[in-house]
Amino acid sequence: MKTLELDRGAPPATVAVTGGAGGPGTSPDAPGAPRRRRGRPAWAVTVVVLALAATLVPLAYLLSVSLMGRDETVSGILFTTSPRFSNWADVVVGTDLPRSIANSVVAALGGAALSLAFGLPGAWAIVRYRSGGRGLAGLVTSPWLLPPIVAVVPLFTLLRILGLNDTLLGLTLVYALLNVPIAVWLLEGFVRKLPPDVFEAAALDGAGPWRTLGLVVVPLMVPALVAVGTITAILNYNEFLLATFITQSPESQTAPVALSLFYGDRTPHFGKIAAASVMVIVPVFAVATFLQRWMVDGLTSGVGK
Amino acid sequence: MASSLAERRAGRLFVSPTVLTLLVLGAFPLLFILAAAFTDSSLGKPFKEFTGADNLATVLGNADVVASLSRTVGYAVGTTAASVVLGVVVATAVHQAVRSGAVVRTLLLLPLIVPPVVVGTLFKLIFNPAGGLLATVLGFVGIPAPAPLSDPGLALGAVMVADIWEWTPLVFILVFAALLGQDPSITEAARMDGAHGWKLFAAVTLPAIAGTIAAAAFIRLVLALKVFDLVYIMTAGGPGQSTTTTSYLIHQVALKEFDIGRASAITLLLAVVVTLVTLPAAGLAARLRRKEEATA
Amino acid sequence: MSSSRSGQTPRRSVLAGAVLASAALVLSACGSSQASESTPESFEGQELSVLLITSHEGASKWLADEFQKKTGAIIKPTIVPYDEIGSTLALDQQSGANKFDVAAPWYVSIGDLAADDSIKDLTDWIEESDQDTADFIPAIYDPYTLVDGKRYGVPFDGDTHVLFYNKEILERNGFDAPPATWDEYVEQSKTITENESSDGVYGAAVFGQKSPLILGASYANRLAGFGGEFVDAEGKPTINTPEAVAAAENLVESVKYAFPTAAETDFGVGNGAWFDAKVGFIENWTDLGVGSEINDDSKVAGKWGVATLPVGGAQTEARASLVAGFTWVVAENTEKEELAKEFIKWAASSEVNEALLTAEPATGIDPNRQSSLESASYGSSYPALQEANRATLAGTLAWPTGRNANQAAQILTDELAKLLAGQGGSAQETMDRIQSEWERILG
Repeated sequence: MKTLELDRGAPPATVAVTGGAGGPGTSPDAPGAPRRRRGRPAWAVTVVVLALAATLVPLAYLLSVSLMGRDETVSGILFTTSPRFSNWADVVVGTDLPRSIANSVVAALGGAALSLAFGLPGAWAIVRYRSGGRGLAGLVTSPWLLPPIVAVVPLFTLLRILGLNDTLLGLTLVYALLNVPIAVWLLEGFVRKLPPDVFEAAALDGAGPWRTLGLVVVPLMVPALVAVGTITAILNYNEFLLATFITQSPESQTAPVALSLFYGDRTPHFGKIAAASVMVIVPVFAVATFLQRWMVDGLTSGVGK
Repeated sequence: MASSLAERRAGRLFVSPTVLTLLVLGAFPLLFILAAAFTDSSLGKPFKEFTGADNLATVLGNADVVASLSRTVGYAVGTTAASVVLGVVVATAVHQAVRSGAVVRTLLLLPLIVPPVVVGTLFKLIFNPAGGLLATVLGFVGIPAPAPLSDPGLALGAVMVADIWEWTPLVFILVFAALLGQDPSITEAARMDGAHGWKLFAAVTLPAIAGTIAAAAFIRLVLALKVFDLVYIMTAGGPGQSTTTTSYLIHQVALKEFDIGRASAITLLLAVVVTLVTLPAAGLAARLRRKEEATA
Repeated sequence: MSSSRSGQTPRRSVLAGAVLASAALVLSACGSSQASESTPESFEGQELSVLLITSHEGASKWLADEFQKKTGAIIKPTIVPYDEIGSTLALDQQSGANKFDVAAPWYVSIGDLAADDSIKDLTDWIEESDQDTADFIPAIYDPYTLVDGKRYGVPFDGDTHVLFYNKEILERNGFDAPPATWDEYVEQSKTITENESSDGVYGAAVFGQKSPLILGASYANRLAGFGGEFVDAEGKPTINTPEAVAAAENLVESVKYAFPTAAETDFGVGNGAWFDAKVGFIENWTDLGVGSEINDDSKVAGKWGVATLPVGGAQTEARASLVAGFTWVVAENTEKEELAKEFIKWAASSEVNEALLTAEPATGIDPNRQSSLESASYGSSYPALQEANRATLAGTLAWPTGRNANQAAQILTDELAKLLAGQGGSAQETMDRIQSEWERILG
């Protein structure tokens, strides 16, 4: 059994998500695995505690500030004794924030789904049929290396040609394209790990490329699709630069753009800015908590099960 | 394996969205940038007239531009080194202490899903000299409030802290997944041979996950070389030029000074730097991969 | 493809402009009163897309409501950060998306927007339409609208800075009057900071964040006070004169005793410190006084005073500094030119400006007209602001507005930020560098 596979074509395409398969039947954290028996080293526990503190203290502080009055945010206190939940209500009721969060979710998920739909056949064909040869495999990540700022200008023109300026659909499409390279690159690793005998069997049954892709590859790739989809959805949800220029009206604006506008007030209220930030991250936290198990399973076991 | 005609045809169809993407997001912007870099181009009127290497000469002759490039490289190497070391240490620790640790791992991944706009806001609040978390906590022990984001010597480091906080979980999860994916029988065998602790890690675990680490470093490096949002929110590139990274500078030249020609010239320079800096990481990852394949 | 298109556009638009202008001439000869009477109904239900900055959001609501009442037209505002409005409009017009009909950008960007064919030349229309342009505050009207002899807009938001002071803080520290000179300002600020910084109270909030509208404004205020100019009457840069250097040196001194920390002080931080009564002085738009009285968060209601900006050097008379200021422009490719013009004419009118000055909730709009500045309603609501704002009637300092003005403002800002961070050498060296850069791009 291979301990670790980093069997990728292009140099940059060596990515960790291909990390070795646990092997059939051995879920990595299956109870009773031999290494479970050892105790917990003190250093490891210390590091975990420190890491949790470093991760969570800033988030807790954000939560705390979100409940402060305007003067309290600059008065040097760590938490307020009279929490103002009105901050939360103020940034949600009658503002564009809830819609912008919904827009972000739509663009993030829609973009991720499209990236996968575009990327999976590509990754499959690059690996299985060597389509595009070494050149394509090597070039796949190149757009990702370019800083996207100047690309705003040609992208704007492109969206105008499609009539999609300042629309959520336009942004979703841009996100979909933006992450196809990442999706192909990550999915390639999973495709390589598909057991070849499955396809030989499919071929013997007379299945053509389309049926093999639809009926054999896709079902086997579900964990990988969820993992890669989660990563791309997060990248989309976090994106700011392109969104500021592609979406301006409240109908299409995303959450990071709406948040950045809170700074434009002549007297911004840090409590409310923090409250708005909390509102923006709570839905993703909820979803991510649910999805992260899938994501880790996808990353670790891949399709080896 | 020989592909049939039908397979080749299907394959071409399957890769067409990928190729289209490369054309739309790779070739098209690159051509635009190349054309703009060698012409007098403003935001509202690109390609007014061919000016040869004027834009490149202007930006190369500008000390602030050149300084921003080296600043960006320093920033990227620093954040990458910190993220990789912390990510590996934490992943190993979690793996040792709590195994799969679903709860711990969920919590540790949270920064990854906080939009950088929020991360910037959060660390601005933390570093706020008037009543921020850092100033308040240091105040308890009698240390005067620092102002990291306004101190030319500290500001870049302060932005790096926010960046490291945000992206280290990515390294963590990739390395952690690799650790979970290790073949337990190999570590067991090494342990039987008397290897344990640091020795076991250095002799068995580290070589097994080295390829993953190199790949994670590569991703991390590219993200850091393109840093924009955090600088935009936290410091606007100040104080002075202290946190003016090249991406931020390009944004300023293109969208505040309306000079797409000069912005494109800087983008080309940055593209060269990104390639030069990431090649070693990509090469290392490829070499480690070959080594692993040879020993597998 | 793009280049050939933009190559043709100017010629076409010049032609179109000529046709329109002559048509307008014929029309106005036929009697313009008839045309203007028929307009209110014809705009019923039409939509106008207006691009505005965040601090005009309140004003946009007032304008949308009132304009709809008046004409039946629906104003659709799009709000963007103040430093993105110019690039948003340019991208919109360049790409052909043409979403926006009207915008109110920073006046400094009109030269670049005009050079990029993003906004319409309104010279003829302004002359022909009866707008009482003589009533615009003269020192505002030209800088806000005029580039190379042509007018590209009408003034919207006056936006000159004045000096606000916290009376209680000054009294506590033994000062019975606000500073008359920038040296006195530094002296008083230093005293307050030395006495009270341990309690979190500082002499002044100094806008120092690296942005032309923020740090650039702080410098412009001092340059005005010392009697300097950005450029001379011929448009040649004069940014390393003794006055300009003295202004930079004063800025360095001001920052030393400022609310921590100047480099991070943007509008929000500075105004927040002012409302919390943590600073003795703040240079700000006159509408801060309105906010100080009616803002829920304000702890300075009834405790503040306002004065014209201090002076320095040989300058003895108060001089206004046109730091921000926003101008109504019409997008080049709009298909609703008539409605767009009707709207900006109305929005820049004396009555609307006067109403916006005292509207509640506060709109943040400053006088653009002599009549609104001198209006009884403004005078009775905010007599002190009215007095301070009169400084704009005399000689004012305005930014250059021609082609590359955005870049010029950014260069100044970057170099001043370096000076303040100790990365730029002396004030003289800093201003010399700016001068040579400006000579290259503005000359």
